[in-house]
Order: sequence, then structure tokens, then C-alpha cells
Amino acid sequence: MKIWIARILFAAAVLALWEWGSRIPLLGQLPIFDPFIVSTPSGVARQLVKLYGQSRLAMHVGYTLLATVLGLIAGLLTGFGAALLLANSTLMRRVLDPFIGTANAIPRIVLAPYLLIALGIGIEPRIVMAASFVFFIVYFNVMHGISTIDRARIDHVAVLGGGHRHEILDLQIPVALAWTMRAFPQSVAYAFVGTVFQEFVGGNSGLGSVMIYGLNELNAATVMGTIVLLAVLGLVLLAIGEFIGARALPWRAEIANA
Amino acid sequence: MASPRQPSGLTVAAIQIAIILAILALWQFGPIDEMLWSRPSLVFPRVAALWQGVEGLPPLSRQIGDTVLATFVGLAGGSALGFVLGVALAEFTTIRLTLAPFLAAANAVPRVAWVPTLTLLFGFGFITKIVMSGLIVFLVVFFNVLDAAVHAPPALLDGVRALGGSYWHRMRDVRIWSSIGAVIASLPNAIAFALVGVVFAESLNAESGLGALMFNAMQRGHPDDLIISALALGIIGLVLIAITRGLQRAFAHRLMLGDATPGGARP
Repeated sequence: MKIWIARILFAAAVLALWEWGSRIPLLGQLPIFDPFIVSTPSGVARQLVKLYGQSRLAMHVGYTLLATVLGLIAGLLTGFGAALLLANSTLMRRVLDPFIGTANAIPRIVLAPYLLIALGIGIEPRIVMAASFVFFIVYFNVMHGISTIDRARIDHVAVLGGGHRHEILDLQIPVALAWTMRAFPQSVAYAFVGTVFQEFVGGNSGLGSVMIYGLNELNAATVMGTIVLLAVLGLVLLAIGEFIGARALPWRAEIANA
Repeated sequence: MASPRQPSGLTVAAIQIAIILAILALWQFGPIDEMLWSRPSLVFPRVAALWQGVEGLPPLSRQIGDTVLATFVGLAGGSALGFVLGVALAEFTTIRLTLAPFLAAANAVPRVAWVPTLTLLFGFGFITKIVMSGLIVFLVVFFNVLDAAVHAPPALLDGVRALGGSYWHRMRDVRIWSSIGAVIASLPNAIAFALVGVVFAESLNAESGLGALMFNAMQRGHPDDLIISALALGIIGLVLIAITRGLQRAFAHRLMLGDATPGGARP
């Protein structure tokens, strides 16, 4: 209870400083209090209402969410599939490991200009960018999961007369699913990051593009309002991601030690 | 994974070299959009020209230097601040619980969203790159250190309290040492994020730096700059991560770090 009071007081203090900070003598002259740069809570609220009234805000939020979800699904499927494929081909795995490691180490953001030019400013480049983040997360998690399957279990399958097909269906796929769910919250978060970044670099819709629009108009209220919306959306997505990650596949806890 | 036959190292290496040669051949001779991807034969003379500095651009060596320097300064500053605040908030529970939802909210914002405001505050120059890079690194290191410091061995903390130690002694003698491992474990990720932060800051028309070179390439009518800066950033990213992994391995046995969690997400 006391903590909640402290939180409300802290939030109130921050909002008050944000709204009236520029009126403090001397200290108020700092750029961080300048309403032209950081706007004010009342200014942000008014701007958000105005943008919502023009029906654009809901549309932009929708596009960001759509790209995030589609990128997430694409990344999950490709990462899952690639890991399963490479786990079952020693040759392919050893050949491609350095390439995948290299691709992972290169800042994913260098893809952004290429995606912009090749796929334009619609939703497709954002889906690809989001998927590129999720792919590596899922790939490394699933590979780790499959590579740490207890040798005894593999032998059990063989002893019971199962071939390689059974090993894949009865061991690898459940383990792969369990580890994919383990990585789900992180995947959701990064799909969101990738989407917003691609919108930022060049997008005709989505919250990232709203922010760029605000910047071009030198409208700090739009910029700060977008930050607030992104924080809310990010928290909601993370909460959903953690909820699904924890509840989906209830049997996974035994398998993934999660 | 039950295959008994291991392919020979020679076979693997031969296939890898063949793949690299195939990619290079496709890049040089293939039916690809030259305006977008350039060709190796065009790239090398352009690198030489950029190195000297052409069309009013600073020399490539300076662009690389700016990006790398900003990365390291951001890494150092962000790590230091993240470490200090992480240890402090681990000790002062009330402050930590009060601030927890606000920190979570700030962390949920995609980092790139801070760039416009920081650019308005600090301009298009070096300071913004350091602040952006430092901010990202801070968020990474802070949460890792906070987690490690909060979960410092309770027996040690009780021991300090029993011996009459104050919050300061708990921080200095227990929490700091629990957290150093967390900082070192998060170093490869932190340095990758530091580089990304610098490029984020440069994405809004900075004066100098590889990110600026990359994002401005098409406007300047030089698509080969795009692939040159992308490759340079890729190489720098690889080198930085390799260096930090080496440091990690050097310290791992002293600090008894476990295996890194799989699925290390890189930005």
C-alpha cells in the first residue's frame, strides 16, 4: 500500500516537473525543461486526443501491431524450421554455423536501408525486419534445446524400435516447441522493436512514422506522445508475451526446465 | 542428431569456401540491381576514395573512428551508470519498488524512439551518439546488475548485518561482487547495443559516422557507400563482439560464470 502511495507521489512529481519545470528560476532554463523540445503533459494529452480524433492514431497503432504480430509469426516459423532442419543434418549445421553466427553478430539495423529500397515503405519491410530479430532468438533457443536432449531419451526411442523419424516427432519437436515458448516473451519484444525501427527509417504508417512526422513538423507533443504510446504498447505486448509464454504448452516445464 | 558419421573438417571448409565464392561471384557477375548492391569491382575504388575523403565527406578513417569511439564511450558511461544504480537500487528496496513500474515502462520503449528527443536536446553531433549509446547500454547493464545484486547470497548479506555492517558495507562487500559477473556476462550484448545506439543516433542525418554514411548514401547518389558502410559496420560488430567474448572467457573462470543463456538476441 505504502509503495503505491510512493509511486503515485513520484509520478505526480515527475508530471509536475515536466509541466511546470521551465518556470523554475535558473534550472528551468535547461533544455530538458524546454516545452519546445519535450512538450508538457497537457500538451501531449491534447495532441493525442487530436490525433485520435483525426482517426489516424488508431490506424497507426493497428499497423504497428499488425506488423509486429506478422513479423513474430514469420520469425517463429522460420527460426523453428531452420533449427529443426540443421539439428538433423550435421553437415549443414557445421557448414552454416559460422554464417549464422556472423549474420547474428552484424547489427540487424544495416538491413534497414535495403529493406526500404527493396520493399518500400509499406508493411512488408517491417515484417521482414521484425522477423529477422525473432528468427535468431528462436533459432538459437531451439538449437540449444535440441542439442541438450538427454542421450538416454534418444536411446529409449531407439530401444523401443523407433527410427530417426520417431526421434524427430516424439523428442525433437516437443523440445523445440517448449524452447520456442520459452523464448516467446523476448521474441515479442524484439518483433516490436524491429517493426518500430523500420517504421522510423521509412514507413507510411505505424507509430514510428508518426514520430518522424512529429519531428518533421517540430511538434514535440507528437514526439513525446508517441513515446508514451510506445511505452504503453510495449508493456502490453510484453505482458501478453509473458502470459502466453507461461501458459501455452503446460507440459513444457518438464521438458525445457523452464 | 543420432548420425554416427561426422563430415570431415575438410569437406565442411570446402563447402563454406564454395558458398563464399558463389556469393562473391553472384555479387560481381550476377543479375542484381547494381544501383542497390554495387559490385566488388566498384566497391574497392570507392573505399579508396572514401578513405581520402571525397565530396566534402570526412575521410572514412575518421568516420569509422567516430563511430567506434562513440561506441566505447557510450559503453563505458552506460555500464558505469548502470552498475552504480543497479547496486544502489538493489540495496534500497523501497526506492526500487517505487520506481519499478516506471523503469519497466522506460525499458519497454523501443530504444530508437529516444533519438528525436535526444537530437533536439543535444544536436546532431558526437554528444547525441554517446548519450544514445550510453542510454541503451545503461538499460541493458542496469537490469542485469539489479537482478544479480538483488539475488546476492542472502547468507553473506546476513553475515554483514550480523557483524554490524550498514547498507554501505552490504553494497561494497557483497552486492558489488555479485554484480561484476553480470556486467561481464552482458558485455557482448552491451557492446553490440552500444554500436547500434550510435547508428540509431546517426540515422537522423549526423555529420559524420558510418551510420550517417549509410543512411545518406542513396540521397547522395552513391549506393556503393551503402554497402561499404553496411559491411564496415558488420565487421566492426563482429570484431567488438569477438573482443568482448575473449574478455569474458578470460574472466569467466575467476568469476565462475555459467554458460551464457542461449538465444542471445543481437540488435
